[in-house]
Amino acid sequence: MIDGYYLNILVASKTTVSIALAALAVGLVLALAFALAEFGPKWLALPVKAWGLLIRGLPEIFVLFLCYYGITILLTQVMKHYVDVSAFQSGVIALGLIFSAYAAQIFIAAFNAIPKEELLAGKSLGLSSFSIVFSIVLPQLFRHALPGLINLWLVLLKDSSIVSLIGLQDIMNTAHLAASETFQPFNYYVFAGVLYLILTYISTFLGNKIEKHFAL
Amino acid sequence: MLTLFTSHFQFILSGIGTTLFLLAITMVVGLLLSMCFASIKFYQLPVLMQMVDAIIFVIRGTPFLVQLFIIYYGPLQFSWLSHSWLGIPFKSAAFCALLALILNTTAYTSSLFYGAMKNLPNGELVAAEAMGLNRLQTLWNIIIPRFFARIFPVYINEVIMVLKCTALVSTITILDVMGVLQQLMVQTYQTIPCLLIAGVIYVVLTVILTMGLKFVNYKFNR
Repeated sequence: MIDGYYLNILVASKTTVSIALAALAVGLVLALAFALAEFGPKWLALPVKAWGLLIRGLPEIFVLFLCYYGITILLTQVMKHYVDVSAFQSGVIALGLIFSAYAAQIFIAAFNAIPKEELLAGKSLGLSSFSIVFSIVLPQLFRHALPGLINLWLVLLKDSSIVSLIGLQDIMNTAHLAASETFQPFNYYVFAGVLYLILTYISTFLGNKIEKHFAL
Repeated sequence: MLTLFTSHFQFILSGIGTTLFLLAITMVVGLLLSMCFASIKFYQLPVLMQMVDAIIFVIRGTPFLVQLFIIYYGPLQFSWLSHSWLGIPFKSAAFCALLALILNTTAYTSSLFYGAMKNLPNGELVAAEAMGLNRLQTLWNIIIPRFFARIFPVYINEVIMVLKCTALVSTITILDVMGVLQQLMVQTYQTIPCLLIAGVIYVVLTVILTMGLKFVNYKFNR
């Protein structure tokens, strides 16, 4: 019953986790930038808001395909020679963009949850704006945003399965390969599902731990 | 891009029709099914409740793509299933896509509905009991109307989520908007224009749906 294909799928979960983690890193940085931009001047805030709405209204698979085909064509035309953007890179960019569009909203809500008096208090104590941001805003922002971000991480982990469609050998792609070679699709897809279930379960468990650790 | 759109207008239109058809059926059946699931959890019916919890846990913990592939490719493995009448519906990609979409939306909305049901003002339920209404009457006359007014703004998001999910059924050979334009991509070699057309269609659909549902919500809560 147990054969090498199961092992292959198990090993491929490393790709799934690493693409999700890379997209998380890209997405968090982008999300902070987008959130800051939305508080900025109007000429910056409006396009950023529109961009967020656009990404949130488009199917994930569309964003992925556009990144996969589009970036290669764009870079090739700009650089005047063929530039290869790997499936992993475009997957990270696409998933990171999708993640950041949702996470920016969470950061904005978290920022609004910080009492404005604390910023004024920091100012009246003579703190520089740098230390106000680093010792008053960011620690609280992180705490308020944490539950939402953990939810988004779960969504990201599940969404990462679509990178199998552009040929990256993650859990889903390997399961597809095993299914088409052995004509036992049920076994392998269910195994892939169980792996995702385990990954999300571990994430939820760790997420709860982190949330408890940082709870006020 | 415009000539591409006009020369394949009918094909693209059929794709939009398929997407909207999938969305409509999923929303209607999904709504009814999630009401059932939420009621089962609300009244804490034994055995059924554990089953509902298990279904929700499994579906919320796995990607939609896995669910779709298990439903579409999975039954092929068992010859006793694919040779009996039970296997007939699984031969149709549309049926499998609908089944996956409905299960998926049900798992997400039923916990939403359950939360809203739990937070209904308790006084009204007590009043309904004092008036001698039975469980079904309470459900129909008190819980459901109050609960819809509360749930609708959040439900709009779910409709958009399902619309985005339908793009994935192109992977099991269904010619929805994404499927149609992927086919055109292969036929015409115009990758980016085809993708952009799909993007514009999805954005327009999202905007129309959001605005329409917000209008309904406004009328509903007047």
